[in-house]
This record gives sequence, structure tokens and C-alpha cells, in this order.
Amino acid sequence: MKPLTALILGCLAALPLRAETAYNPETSLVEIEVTKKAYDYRTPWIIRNEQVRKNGILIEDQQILTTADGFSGQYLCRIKQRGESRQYTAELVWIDYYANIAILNVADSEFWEEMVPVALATSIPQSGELQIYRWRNGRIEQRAAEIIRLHSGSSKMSYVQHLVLTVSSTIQSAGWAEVVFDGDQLVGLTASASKDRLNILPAEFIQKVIDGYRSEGDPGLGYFDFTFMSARNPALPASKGLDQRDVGVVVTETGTRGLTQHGLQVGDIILEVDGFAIDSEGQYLDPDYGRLAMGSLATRAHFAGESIPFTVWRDGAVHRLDYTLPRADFGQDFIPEQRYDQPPQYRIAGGLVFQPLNGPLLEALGKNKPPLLDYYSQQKTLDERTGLVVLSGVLPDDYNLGYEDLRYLLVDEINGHKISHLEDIEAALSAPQGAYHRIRFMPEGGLRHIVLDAAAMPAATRRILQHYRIPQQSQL
Amino acid sequence: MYQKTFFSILLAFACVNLAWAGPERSVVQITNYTQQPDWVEPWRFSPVSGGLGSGFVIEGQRIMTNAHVVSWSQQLIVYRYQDPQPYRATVEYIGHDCDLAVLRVLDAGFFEGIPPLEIGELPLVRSTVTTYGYPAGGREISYTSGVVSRIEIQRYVQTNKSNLLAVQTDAAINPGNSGGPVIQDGKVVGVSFQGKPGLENAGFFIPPNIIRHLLEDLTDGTYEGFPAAGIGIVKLTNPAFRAALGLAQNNIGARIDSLFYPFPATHELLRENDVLLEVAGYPVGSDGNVIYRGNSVHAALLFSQVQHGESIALKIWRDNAELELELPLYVNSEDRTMGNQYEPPPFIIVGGLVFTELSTNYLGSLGRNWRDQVGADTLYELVYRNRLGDEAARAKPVVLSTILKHASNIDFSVDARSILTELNGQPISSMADLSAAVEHAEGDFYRFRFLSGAVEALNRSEALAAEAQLLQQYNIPSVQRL
Repeated sequence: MKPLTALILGCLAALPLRAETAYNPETSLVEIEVTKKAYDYRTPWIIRNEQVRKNGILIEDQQILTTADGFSGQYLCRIKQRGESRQYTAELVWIDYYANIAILNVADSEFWEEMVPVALATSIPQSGELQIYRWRNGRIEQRAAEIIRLHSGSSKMSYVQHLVLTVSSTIQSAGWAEVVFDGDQLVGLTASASKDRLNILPAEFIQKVIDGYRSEGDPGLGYFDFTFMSARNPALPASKGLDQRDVGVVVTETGTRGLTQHGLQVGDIILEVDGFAIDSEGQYLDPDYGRLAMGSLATRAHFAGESIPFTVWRDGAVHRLDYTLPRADFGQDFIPEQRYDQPPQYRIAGGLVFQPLNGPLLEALGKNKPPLLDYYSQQKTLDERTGLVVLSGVLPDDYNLGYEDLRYLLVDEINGHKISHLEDIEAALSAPQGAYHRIRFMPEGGLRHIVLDAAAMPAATRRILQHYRIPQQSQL
Repeated sequence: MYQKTFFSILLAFACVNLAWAGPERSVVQITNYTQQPDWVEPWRFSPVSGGLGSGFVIEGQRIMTNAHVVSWSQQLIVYRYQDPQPYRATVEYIGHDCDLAVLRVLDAGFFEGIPPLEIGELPLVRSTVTTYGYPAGGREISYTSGVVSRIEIQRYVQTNKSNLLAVQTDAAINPGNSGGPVIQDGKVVGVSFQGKPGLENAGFFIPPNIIRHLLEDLTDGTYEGFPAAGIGIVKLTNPAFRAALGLAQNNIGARIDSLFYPFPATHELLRENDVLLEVAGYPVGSDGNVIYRGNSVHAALLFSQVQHGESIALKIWRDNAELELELPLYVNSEDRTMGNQYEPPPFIIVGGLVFTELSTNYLGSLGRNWRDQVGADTLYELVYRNRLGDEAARAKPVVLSTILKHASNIDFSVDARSILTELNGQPISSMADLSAAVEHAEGDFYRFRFLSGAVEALNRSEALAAEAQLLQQYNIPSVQRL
């Protein structure tokens, strides 16, 4: 028994020693309270108050690093350190929703006393155990995490592709920028969680984005604005005259996000990107991390605006072209997928509530979203339009009698003017057809035409706004 | 005294005999043994299952019942009232749109001693009716009585796309009652056919108008169905809209909001924003309803009362003037993919890729969460694109329903449930297009293009060899059924 006891005691003695060499979160981990405006796109004039609590960590140059998630609509940010109750007001210095990264600063110099920045890991571990830390009720909560895999994935906040580290942990309600360490190196921040799995935004990616932010002009993250499919079926490349198996992917759409197109054509077989051979599953062999999906090559070593060499098979021959990486931009989407830091847009005319069709509106409708809106939200273009407007509902009044039950109809024309945006409505209503406003909806919907009295509309709108206690006619 | 007693006894017997001669003798029980096709692997059929329903004898030694009672029939057995003898029957005509069917019994002796029931008139609201049938819960005939609650246009769930007149009653109508007669004053005033989830003490029966329409339709030996005008009628109650159309501010006239496809005569004669003032002499209210035998019913009722190819008189308001015209009405035979279908689906197998028509049945066969399994673009192709024009309305999109795996297609990377749009550069908008494209295919490859933009290919010679093997391997009778 004596040797065994000695062994156990020896192990127990060793544990604190190891903990001492590990990261001490108390001097760098902070708790962030974000107070923000929140919106319900079904009643776009209503603004609610919401608070989000998340984590952040001190990095060099007196900056607090966290994820961008939860900051949209923020107007007050407070930070607690060391588990103390005192709140320091913080300033949002910079935020990139596409990368899901935000930098905060605290003006009060007292905050920085005895606080120690941490170093960002320069590489991403691919196996082993990591430690997750966060503040909970004034105490540090520490949980182990086991690395599952490193892969190329989409940002939680956008369509941008980058490396993602997936880990397994028993930590509950995570995904709010809990910090993940390998020894004393910051490996990354949690970005999302599902059951016992967490996706980590790797420090290496974070560092690259911060470097870009600090560089002149902040080029932002780029995106491969095309879709492709596997060419693993040998008959597919063979049908295009390419007598090679298991190489390349076939381009199925270009300009998917409305970003500029750069030489790729539908039907091209992409053989190489940035010097890396692309296999028939769309993967390349990364020198550091092994086999990864090619989507992350857009952010792995490049920023928007840079050229990336592509080798493609087209019309029976190999072609080389430079793909200028477009900057990710929701504003270029035909139907914007996200709108950050902006209130919902609407315009009320005669009790008819018009809203642009966009991702947040569809999300607000949840599973009840009308199939036709769902379909149009996935369109890349439509005629010469640059967007779509929805009659989302009607505020009942004598003026709009008979139209009370209309909702979620896609507007085609008003007074003969094609409608792409709410601003078009203003212009169209300024030119009634005779004494009337004539509104046409898309032909596939349940109703095609309605007519309203033009002269009575302004007074009716004022009356309706007052009756339904809506503060303003429009929010553009 | 003895005479009086004798006459009393005679009278009693006569009354009993009268009771025996009641409608129940003309009511039959129907057992239907069915097999339904698999919509994903269309050469397969389900295991045989049996279902019970009711019917009644009509003139001409025929039985009337619901279409849904005899759908997908492989073997039909009918039983007479209180007679255990089974008789084989066949479906002579079936009208899925009106959920009615007419049966023949192979043994003419079946009808001996059974008087046909006479078709009566539309019953009045609040009048009493009695249902006859063989609902679940017992073996004997069952009777329920109730009042006519209301008479309106209802969605007939047999196809789930036709809206016809139906009568609501609080008489219990349960599974097994379907196809049985609803009797008033000894005449058939309806055929029990459906309930409505969520409604209590409410059953529906098919009124005499619909029954007569079917019987008249059959006189030429074919069933055409109920025609439609191909117009979307909406209420016209907004004062500004009425003024813009030059109409008086009253309750007359409903607006034609849109013209559907493919209804060429409708497009020739009517315009969007025409106002329906009268249909077949009935004034149309601003809510789109007419007063029909004391009931306020949607004007669509009147369109369904004429036969395929016949015309209906319309009085419309256009350009500030009344206009009278005769509008020919037709059954939209192009619409065979929406609603529930009752023909085995077509299919074509190309190198193990199984293509079939995109249809409501196909989507329904994907399970309760089918919306999670198909994209919005697929649903759009089925439900919405037909509003865009004549060609779109005639299209019957082709879907890759499944892939029978074979070495030659094992890496085919387009998933099942994708819509095929091209084969070897030929646009595909129907199974006929696909059949022709396959037949005329040249070169070494089949090149496929799908709605998502995805492209794929199969080596033709390998695909043809695979087909022969797969047909044998999966007991598939043929490479296609159109």
C-alpha cells in the first residue's frame, strides 16, 4: 500500500503545479453586458430593450476581444472584471459582423490596473484537450473541452467561410465568446453551441482579421461568390472532355451573393485554387491542417480585393485566371440575408404596411413563412429589380375597407412603377393614376390588384397612425 | 268483429311490408380491397388492404357511392341489406373531383327485389334528413338523423383541389357512412362523404345538384368532370375600387382579379378587373356570392353546374358599361399534378435514375415533414409557376425521385428530389419530353441539368447496361410507364 499511496500523493502534488503553469483567467477574462435595441419585424415600429451577457478577453494594446454576436443594436456596453460588481462603461471600437469579431475599449484607466493581456495562439491544435473559461456569479467557471475536428465552416453571423474548430464539452448555455485555452495560449472564442458541441472561432483567424482591421483601408473578408458541385462521378468530367478522375469541382452558379463576378463561368471545372489542387469533393491539402474545404481559402491567407489564381477546365482545355476576391457584403444580396445595426424598414400608406423582403423578416415569420416569400428570398435576380417589397399587413380602417385580411403579398407595381425598394413606393405614390393609386401584386400570389383613393390617402394615413399609436409613417 | 281483427292484422302486415320496402333495402355495404402505388418507386404497390363503405342502388342497375370508397380498387365486394351473399362489383365511372362513383355488379341477380332510389332536390336549411349506411362500430345498417345546418361551397378532400357545393348536417357521418344516401321524404338528397377536423356534430353530404351533374355527364359514356371558368373572383367592397371601376356604391358585383391558365376562352373573353354582375341570371353580390334557393353561396357554384364545353351566360361590367357574353367552360385536364391523383404515376428509369412527375402525391409520400425535404423552388414549380402563363400551366415538372444504385451511377452527386430541367440540352417540362430526349439521345453521355443549376452525366452505354441489370434486380416490369 505504501508505494501506491506515495504514487497518489505524488499525482495530487503534481496537479497544482500544472495548474500554476496554466492560464490564470482572472486578470484577463471579463464579463460583458450589452444593452441593445431589439426589433420584431412583424411590427417593425416597435422597439424593445434587450440585454446580452457574454465574455471578452484582454489582448494587446488595451483591447478587449469578443465576438460580434449580440451587438447588433447595442447602445450601452458595460464590463466587469475580476468577478467584482463594479461595471466599467466600454466603447465598441470596431466590429466585423462578417467575421464575428468585435473589439472594445474601456476609457477608465483604473480598469486596466493589474490586468494582463493574453497571447493569441498562432496555430490551431487539432487534437487533445482544451480549457474553456467564463465568469459565472463572480467566480470563474472552467470546463474541459475535447477537440473533435478542425474544418472549414460558415461564420455564425454571415456566409463567410473560415476555419472552425469544433470541440465537445459539458459546459451549458455556451456560445457567447467563452474563451478557450491551450495552456496559456488563447486558442479561440466560442461562437455557437449545440448540445455538447461548440464551434470555436480560432485565434489564428481572429488575429488575421485584426491585422486586416489595423491595416490601411481595412479590406475586409473576401468570399468566393460562386457555388459548385462535386465532380466525383467520373462521367461528369468525362462528359466535358476531362479525362481525369477525382479532380475538380463544377461551377454551378456565379454571382450568387450579388458580388462581382471574376471570370468564372458556369460549367467550369475548378482544378486549382491559389496553387492548391482541388479534389472532386472540393477539398485541398492544407500544408498546416491537412484536408480542408476550399471555401476557407478565401479567408485563410487573403483579404478582399486580392487576386487568387484559379486553374479551370473549360471547353476542353485548361485555363488560368485571376479571381479578384470580392468583399462580403449583405448589401449586395438581392434579398439581404442579414441587417445588422439597422432598425427594420417599413412604410405605411393608407394603413397598408410595406416592408422589404429580407432575412430578418422571414426569420420573424418562422415556420409560418409563406412558401412564395421563401421562394423569392432565394432568388438572385428578378427582371431588372434590385429587391422586393412585401405588403406585410393592413391596419384596418374605413379607407382600406375590403383589404383588411391581406398579408405577405409581393408588390409588383404601384401606379405602373416597378417596386424594388420602399423608396420606390414614395415615388410611385406621388404619381397616382387619375384619382387612384393602383397596386399590383406578383401574379403567383392570392390577389393581383387593389385600388385606393389617392386624395384621401394622406389623411387616412395620419388617422391610422394615430389610431394604432404608431409613431412614424416610415422607417427607411 | 273477426273481420275487423283480420283487417287489422292485414293492415299491420302491410305496414311492416312498407317498412321493409324502405330505403335501407337499396343501401349496400361495400368492401374495397386496395393497392396504392408508391410515388417514389412508382412500379411498386402497397400491400393489399381492405376498406368499408356504403352505397345505394340507382336507376339502371347501378350503385352510387363515393369515389374515395372505391379508389385504388383491386377487388370490390358489395352486400345487399341483410344478405350475407358477396357480389363482385366493378367501377364503371369514377369522378374524383366530385367524390362520386358508379358501380356495376357482375351478377344481375343482385338487383332483384331492390328498388332504385330516386334522386330528390336540394334540401332546405333546418329541414330534417336521415343518413343510411354501414359506419364503423357494428355490422348492421345504421341510421342517423339531423337537420341541414348550412349549404355552401366546400373543399372536396378526395382531390383536395375542387370546391363544390356541399351540405352540412348535424346527423352523425362516420367512417363507413361514406357513399351512403341521405334521405328526405323517401328520396336521396345527398351522399354522405366527409367530415371536417375540429368540427363537432358536423358532417357533410354531396347534394343532388352534384349527383345529377355526374349522371348527366356520363350519358355519353365518358366522364369529363366539373368545368371551371379559370377566374379568381374576389370581393369588391372597397369604395375607391368601386369608384375607380365606375360602379355604384352598392352591394352588386364581384371583381375578377385574375385569369388562370390554361383557359384560352376565358383569356379571349374576359379581362382582369371585369366585374361579375350576373352569372346564369343570378345577381352576384359584392362578396362574390349569389342567392341560390335561399342560400348565400359563392358564384363558383353556378360555373360547376354546366357541363364541360357548355357555355354560361355572364353579365359583366367593363369600361363603365354592362356587357353580356357567353363563356364556354372547360375542365382543366392539364392539371394532373396538383391535388390528390388516382392514376399510378408515370416513371422513366435512365441508368438507375428514377424520374417521375412532381405531384402533390409525390411530396405527400415524403412524410409529414416533406417541406423540410424539398426546396422552396420545388414547391414553387408545383404550386405557383402555373400562374405565369399557358406554357407554365401545361408543364408537369419531372423530379428525380430516387436513384437505384449501380456501379455506373454510384457517384452521381445530385440528390433525389431534384427537378430535372434538361437532358442533353433538351428542355424537360414533362415526362413526354424526357421520354423523347432519352429516345433521341446521341453521343457517349446523358448530360443532365437540374433546377438548382447542378449538372451531372452518365456514360450512355454503361447506363443502358445498368438498366437491364437493375430491372431484373429490383423486379421492375419495364424501364418506363407513361
